[in-house]
Amino acid sequence: MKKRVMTAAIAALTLGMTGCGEPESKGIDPKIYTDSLFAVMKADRTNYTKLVVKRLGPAGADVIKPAEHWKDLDNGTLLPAQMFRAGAEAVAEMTDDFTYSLQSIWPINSQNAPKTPMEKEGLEYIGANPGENFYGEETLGDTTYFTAVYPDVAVSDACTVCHNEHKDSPKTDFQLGEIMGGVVIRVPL
Amino acid sequence: MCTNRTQFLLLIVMLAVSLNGCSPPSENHQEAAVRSDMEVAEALYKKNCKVCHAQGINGAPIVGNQKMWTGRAEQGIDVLVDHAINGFGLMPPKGGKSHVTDEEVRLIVEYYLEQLKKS
Repeated sequence: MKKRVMTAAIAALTLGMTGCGEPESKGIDPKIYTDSLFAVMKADRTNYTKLVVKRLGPAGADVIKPAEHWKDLDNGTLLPAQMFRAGAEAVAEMTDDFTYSLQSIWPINSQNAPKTPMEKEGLEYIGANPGENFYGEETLGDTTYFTAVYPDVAVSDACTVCHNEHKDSPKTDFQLGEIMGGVVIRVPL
Repeated sequence: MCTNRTQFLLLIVMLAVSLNGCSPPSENHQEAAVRSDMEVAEALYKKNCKVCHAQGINGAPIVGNQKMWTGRAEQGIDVLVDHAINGFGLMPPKGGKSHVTDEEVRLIVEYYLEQLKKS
């Protein structure tokens, strides 16, 4: 009898403990994950532009020189897009949990052209639908990825002038407010 | 003769009934005009402003985002229109879309403030 009671008690306890446990983890929706990553990237890029380049550059205190070949200049500093790429490179050295890159159908550097069909599709989509993002899944090797593409916009004359006048630029008629490329964020599923 | 007149009256009644069905019965002319303005504004927004203001690119306040707009809206529409026309912070004058008229800019700002009420 005692044994039966003990067994019932253990069973009840087991059931009860199961009920107390943490709910089964479902993981974060990849879209929310990449949207959140992009929000941080966007905020950092805006802050660098506003709080460093504009404040300390030629339009402000004029103590730094934002330029493509910044390393060659005294007080030279990275352009916002270059700072963004530097972040992407630093993350790539740190983790494979996600990658991001700034790409374009009209890249100055051919290394920044889309490499997969989905990247190309995404860049074309955001170009044809200003203000919209692109989301998809692609399989590369043995791994399936969630790939998100967000618009990169010409937000100042500095962007359009640099790209339009650059000897390696395949497109020379960018206008303010136009999409120049996209931020591709890729997460393994 | 009488049949023709009856048919004519019937036609008028049917026309009135069908026209009445084209618009919500409770909407007056003023509301309809506002709705029409907002449709124009939405089209202008999509064509010229959405690329930044849907995403918050370069710090642009996202349309319908209460957190980003509440403080701005408190400054009043005239200040917001002035900022949009002449540029403010990282936003260039008219977002670089110089073909957009000042009146259209005001309409777009009104559209933004209208979206706040919906969100």
